[in-house]
Amino acid sequence: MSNDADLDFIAQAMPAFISEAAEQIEAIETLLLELEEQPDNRELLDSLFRCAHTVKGSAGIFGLNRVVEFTHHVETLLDKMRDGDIGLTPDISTLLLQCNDQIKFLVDTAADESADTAELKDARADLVIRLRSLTDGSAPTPVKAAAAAASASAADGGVRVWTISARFGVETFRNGMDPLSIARYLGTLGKVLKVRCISDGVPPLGNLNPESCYLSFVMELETAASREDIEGAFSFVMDDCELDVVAPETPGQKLARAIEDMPATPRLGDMLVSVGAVTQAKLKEVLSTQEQTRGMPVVEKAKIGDLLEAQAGVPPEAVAAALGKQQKLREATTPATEERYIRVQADRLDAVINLLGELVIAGAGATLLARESRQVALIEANLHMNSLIEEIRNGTLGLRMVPVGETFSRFRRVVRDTAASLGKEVNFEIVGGDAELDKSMVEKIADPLMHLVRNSLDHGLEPPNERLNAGKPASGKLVLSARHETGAILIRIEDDGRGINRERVLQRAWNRGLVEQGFVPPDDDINMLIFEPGFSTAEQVTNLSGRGVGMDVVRRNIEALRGSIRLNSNPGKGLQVDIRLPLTLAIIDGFLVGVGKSKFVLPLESVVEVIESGGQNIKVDSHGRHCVELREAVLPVVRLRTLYTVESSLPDRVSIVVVNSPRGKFGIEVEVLLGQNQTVIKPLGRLFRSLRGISGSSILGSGEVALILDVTSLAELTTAVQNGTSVAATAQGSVPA
Amino acid sequence: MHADNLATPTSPKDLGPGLQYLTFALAEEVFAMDIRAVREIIQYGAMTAVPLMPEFVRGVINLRGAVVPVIDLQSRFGRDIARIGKKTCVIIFDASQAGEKVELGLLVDAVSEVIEIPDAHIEQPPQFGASIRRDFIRGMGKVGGQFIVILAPERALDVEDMAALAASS
Repeated sequence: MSNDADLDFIAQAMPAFISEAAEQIEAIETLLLELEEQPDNRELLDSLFRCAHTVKGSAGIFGLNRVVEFTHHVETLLDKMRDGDIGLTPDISTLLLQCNDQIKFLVDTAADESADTAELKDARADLVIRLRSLTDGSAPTPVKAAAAAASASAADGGVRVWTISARFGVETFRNGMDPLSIARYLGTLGKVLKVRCISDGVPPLGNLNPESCYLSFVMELETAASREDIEGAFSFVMDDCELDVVAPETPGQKLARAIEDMPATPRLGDMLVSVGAVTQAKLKEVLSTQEQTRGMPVVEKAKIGDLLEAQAGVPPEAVAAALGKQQKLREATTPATEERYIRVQADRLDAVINLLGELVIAGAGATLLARESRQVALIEANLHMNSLIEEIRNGTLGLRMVPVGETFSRFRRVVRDTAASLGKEVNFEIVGGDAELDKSMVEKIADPLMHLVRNSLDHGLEPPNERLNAGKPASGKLVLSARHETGAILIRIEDDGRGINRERVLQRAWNRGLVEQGFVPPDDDINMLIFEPGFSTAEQVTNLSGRGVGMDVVRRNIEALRGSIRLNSNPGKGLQVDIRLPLTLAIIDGFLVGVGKSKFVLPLESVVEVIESGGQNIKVDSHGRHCVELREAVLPVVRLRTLYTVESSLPDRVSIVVVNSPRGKFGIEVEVLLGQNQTVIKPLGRLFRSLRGISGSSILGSGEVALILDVTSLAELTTAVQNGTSVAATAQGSVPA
Repeated sequence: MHADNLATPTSPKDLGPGLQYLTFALAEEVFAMDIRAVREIIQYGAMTAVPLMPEFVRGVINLRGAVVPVIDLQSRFGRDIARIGKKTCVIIFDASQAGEKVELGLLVDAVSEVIEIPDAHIEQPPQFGASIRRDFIRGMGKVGGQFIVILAPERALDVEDMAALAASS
């Protein structure tokens, strides 16, 4: 009857499932890679198992049997690993990674079964065989179980008392299963000594769904049957049933195990009662004792655990286990910090940030008016408001920032697989993964980075024997790092491979007509040739990189973000690729200066100091560049009026703003200093993409538009001017971008 | 009764469907452009010049918090840069580019009126003799016995083209 409604619901919920499953799958991959480095980390293994279990569970809800079936095998292996039966070897890790890829594929194509070709099915079947060979090797399969069980029980000498605790999945009834029949079947295996049904999971009547199963039970079974036989009784509900079968142990240990394995109940007393460590009557007695102590304020309220231990003779192990369990439960009910996320639609956040930009501009306008009015109270009120706006600004912008490390860690897998397929050894390091970058930027930078990383592995790092011959350690080094640097983010990919072979690059550039035959450009320019369209030096085209379509796309993508890419090659020693990205969309603290009628904003964090100077103090050296003497050192100076042909009469006195750039300190000659302000960066758009030295624009409090100077590219422009190239030529992009 | 009046189209029905066009003047010459792309028309005001850009990029303006580039249409057509007069206006329009909306301002000498030109009254651009490049013209609209150049803004004001020009200037 409700079939259609169910289908509707499933169709609606499917996208959410796929996105959630994708997160889990990504987590599995990360965890696997982390686990490779710390194979003994039990927590990682547990999280791994949980992730796989979640995928399987939710796929089950959606009836995605292919996912469930396949994931089940993975889960089985993980479970064995959890039990310590199987250790993580590189082979197993690879196998699991491959399986994860398959799960991902299955989830992605959940809606479209036709995408699953016979080839993929075979690949999957193969993986299943490998998974099973691992799991079967360490523990008998149900098929062999009968024989094994017989011998096992014979060795045990027959009858033992097992504690069985089972928590049935919510879906149990809907799947046509009945816990009661399982209990009855268990009765046929031996003598049921005790059954306790745990009904704590039953919700209040209003929320109770009569078709859901909320029950768990703990049972003591005296039987000659083996563990496999007992577990076999649960085989039909195994998929969503938490089952623990505990063999006889010392009474204390036994109880502790049973408590550990028991489904969640929040009360300490109940736990102990349910495993039979203490009777209900005794518990009541102890509780009343505790009640009495409560009346005495001087004495601390006696702990129930202590009382139980002292008065009821409960073994201390059992109390300890119950306390531990209780602690865990509390932790589980208070959401862990990493789960305290709210999903917000990105465009809503963008709308808030846009409004905030307007607010900053409006605030600056109000401050300006307040200053003009010369009313102290008004000025103060405005200043207060502005400082609040600043706080809101920082907080709001922080919302969009994500640690770049999340993207970086995705590369671990790529590096691992790529290196393996190339027969190279590599130590991959991530540095500064917590540097934050705007989310939209992080998404756009992932692909270019991926390409550069692959490129380093493929072309940069040498095979082990070649490395040894060159006197380097066999294992190559690849470092991916990120850090903030003067209003920009610097992402660096560094390897200790062979670097760029300039002769070969040049030869190819000549052959391809990228550079005039026989002309030898400066070293840096030769390096940059690899970013030219249609350039590839790989002797043979591999399927990783080397199709010659990559590097120019990388550069284009980075330039589209108004970023820049720079190579620092040390032939034979390694290559360093620096990607500098501006903080677009951001609001920065700016320093406003004026040249003629034009106003420019400098990022405040790059400003070192300001010096006053009569125009005549600025010297012109033989190369035609301007410089000034600052504390007995020569400081190159950029004349904005000349560089940008600002037309105005030269004033008597000028100021020189000393700024820090990745290329060292330099000065910028300006005419008016207009002070510090909050600057909302407004990108200038594609029309202005050829513009160098300017990273964007900003609207001032007065409504005027000011241009934001980009200190890094301004430094490059200066160098180019010094080299005798005209500004116009550099504006064409002949400057290494 | 009122509803009837409102429903009556202002243009003669027999000429078939037509679009509305905004007409404007550039140094005595009248041009028209499809009104649907026009966002608004503002008075010429303070403008920030952007250095190292070709002449036809007059600068950027602050349009309620958005920074919008202003193109001097005269100069874009290869003529002298426009002189700023009393009636000088900036037409803000949507120049969509590869699915991305880009707002552009057009500096014109004066904005005249909005007229409807029936499709039947629009002819192909002439092979020669037009005052501007042929691919910049969508068609020639016949209005009151005269021909008005209907601009093809997607060609005349192609952001990629202009950016390339800016890069090479």
